[in-house]
Amino acid sequence: MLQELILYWNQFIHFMNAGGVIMWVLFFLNLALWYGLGFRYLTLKRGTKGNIRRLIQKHLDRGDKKVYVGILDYAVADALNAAEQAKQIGTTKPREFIYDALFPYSVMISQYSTLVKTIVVLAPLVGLLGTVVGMIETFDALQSSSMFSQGDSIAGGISKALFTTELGLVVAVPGLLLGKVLDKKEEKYILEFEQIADIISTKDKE
Amino acid sequence: MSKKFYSTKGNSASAFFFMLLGGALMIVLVVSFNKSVKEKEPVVKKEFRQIHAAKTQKQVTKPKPKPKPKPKKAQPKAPLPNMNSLLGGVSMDIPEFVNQESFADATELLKDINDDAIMNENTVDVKPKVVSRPPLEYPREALQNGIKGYVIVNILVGKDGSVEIAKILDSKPSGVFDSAALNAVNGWRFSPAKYKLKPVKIWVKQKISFK
Repeated sequence: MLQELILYWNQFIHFMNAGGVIMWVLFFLNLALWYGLGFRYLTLKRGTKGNIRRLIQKHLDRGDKKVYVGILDYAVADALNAAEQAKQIGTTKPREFIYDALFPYSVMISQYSTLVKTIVVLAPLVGLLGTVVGMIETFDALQSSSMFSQGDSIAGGISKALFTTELGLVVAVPGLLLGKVLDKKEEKYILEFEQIADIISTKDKE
Repeated sequence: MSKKFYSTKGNSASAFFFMLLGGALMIVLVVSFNKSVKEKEPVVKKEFRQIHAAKTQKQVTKPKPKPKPKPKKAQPKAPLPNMNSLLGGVSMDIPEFVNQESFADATELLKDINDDAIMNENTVDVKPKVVSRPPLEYPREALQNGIKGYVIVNILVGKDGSVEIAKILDSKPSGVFDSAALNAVNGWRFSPAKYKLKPVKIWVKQKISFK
């Protein structure tokens, strides 16, 4: 089992080196992409499934005993604190206080989103670059080789060169899919933060 | 209400697991889509190799003629040797070259010519020119009898410009001027004919008039 793994690893190293330097660039882009995706996935965990109005009511009812599950719980708790502070000061604009309290959360949910988007766009381009570099090398080799032994060197070089494009797409496609899902989540959170601010700031007027 | 802070520190630590997941995914993909290529390759390559061997045999013969036509293009066409004017003024405005058009085959020019090939005027790039020639003797009997005529000689000019073979093709009146013409022709020196910058043997027809 271990030996098979080592063999697998060696094969991987071999293919990566065969594809050129661009392959390793893509590999590290892939690592960065998945770090970003993982971070975003963990941050955007909702935890509670109920709607915002009920969540606020729960916080008001239970107070300290409330078990915090996801980012929304913390956001609601912070927003309630801010509203309370605004009340103590006696300001007429509790909404601003709530917005201030929610601001760190809106920063948090957009963390690494730019990284993910950038890598998704960048990976195919880097793959294309690798292909171009490979093609140039191929034609260089072609120039020096004699006329009728070209077939092999062309086919080998091109298949090697196209490999980087393939890898670029392999990096980009899961990043694009998961990134879009997480972006959708982020949008939903932004709406929910708005809702929190609305509900808490208008609660006392009812 | 006591304050609890949301922190993303735990997230960044566990995000590394996602990173490893992504790395593993990539490793699996890279190895797997290469494996399929590797399995296909030997089958395809074997077929190619056979064709390949056949091709390399051609390679020995084919590439050779290709570089050669280039110098031919660069080579300026030699002006037609005007033997009439060259020889005309000297003693008895006799000789002239006659083109042999019968065995000029244009396709043969494309093939490589081996060293000892004998060419004719239509196939060479530079035609031979008479460099030196001994004076022509008019046979005494013919002179006395006032006989006029001509001899057509076929001359094989060697690579060094010397006359290797001289044959009488036609003469009128027959037999009278033959030996005189042959004697004269054997002493001639030519500048060798050239094909692709190399001197070659060449058959030249020469009409020598006796007036």
